Amino acid sequence: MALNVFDRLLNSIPKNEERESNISFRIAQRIDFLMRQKHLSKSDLARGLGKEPAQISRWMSGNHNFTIKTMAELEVFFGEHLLISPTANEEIAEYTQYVKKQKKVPVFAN
Amino acid sequence: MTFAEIVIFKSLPKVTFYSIKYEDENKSETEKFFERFEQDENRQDQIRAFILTLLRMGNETGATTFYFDRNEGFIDTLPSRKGTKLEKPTDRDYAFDLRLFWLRLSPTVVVLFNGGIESSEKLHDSPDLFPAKYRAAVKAAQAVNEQITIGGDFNIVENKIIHKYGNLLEITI
Repeated sequence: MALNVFDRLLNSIPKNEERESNISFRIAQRIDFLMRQKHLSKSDLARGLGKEPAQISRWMSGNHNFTIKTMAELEVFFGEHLLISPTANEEIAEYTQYVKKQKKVPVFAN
Repeated sequence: MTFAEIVIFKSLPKVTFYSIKYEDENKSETEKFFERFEQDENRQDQIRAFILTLLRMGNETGATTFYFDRNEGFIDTLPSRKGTKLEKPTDRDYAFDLRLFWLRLSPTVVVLFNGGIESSEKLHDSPDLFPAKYRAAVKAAQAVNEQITIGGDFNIVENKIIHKYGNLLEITI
């Protein structure tokens, strides 16, 4: 059966491009949420970070390639994490267990 | 008076995207839009951005109001100002000039119409969109909305539009 136009176009998009778009979008959506939660406008954000308003629009476009530097600036500004792994608590617990297992008991010479 | 049918354009887990198919047409309005630009080499990025936006809504976020921020009266327009790739930083001449009309009926149901090229700052000064396609989309959107609201023949159940008495989702425009 012939694919419809949506599926044809979707099949033409590389998977990494699709994933890249989703990650960037999640960050944009998180910034939008934090702005609303803290009653901040885009202008407030631009002023607070010393950026041009156009830069804020680029961040919100859902396709900005955020650097760690920018994400750190945003986290400091909001006082919140920008990306939260859905399994963060489990990962921390697993890592703690791993570190405990790896920890060597110090051997002291007599 | 024109008869048209509400047809599924794409059904995804969190959102069903519908379109309008006029009685004397073989294809829905949204199929016509995407097929028109499917082979347009200069607008592949834009078409991909539309598809990725619909995919993200349908698979992950649902039709949240986040996306519906480019209002044109009774209907909204894709691309959203937020959440869609709007520019290619390496190419200063690049502009996101495609527009697709859409109507959010619920977080799970969206109706897509036709669209075209916005050749001016304003939609009203863009002959490919206004008046014909814009007015057709608004009329269809109003007709769909009438059937969904109190006293109409359609209901939204989960992520589908359901006819209260039959199967054919027909509207008169």
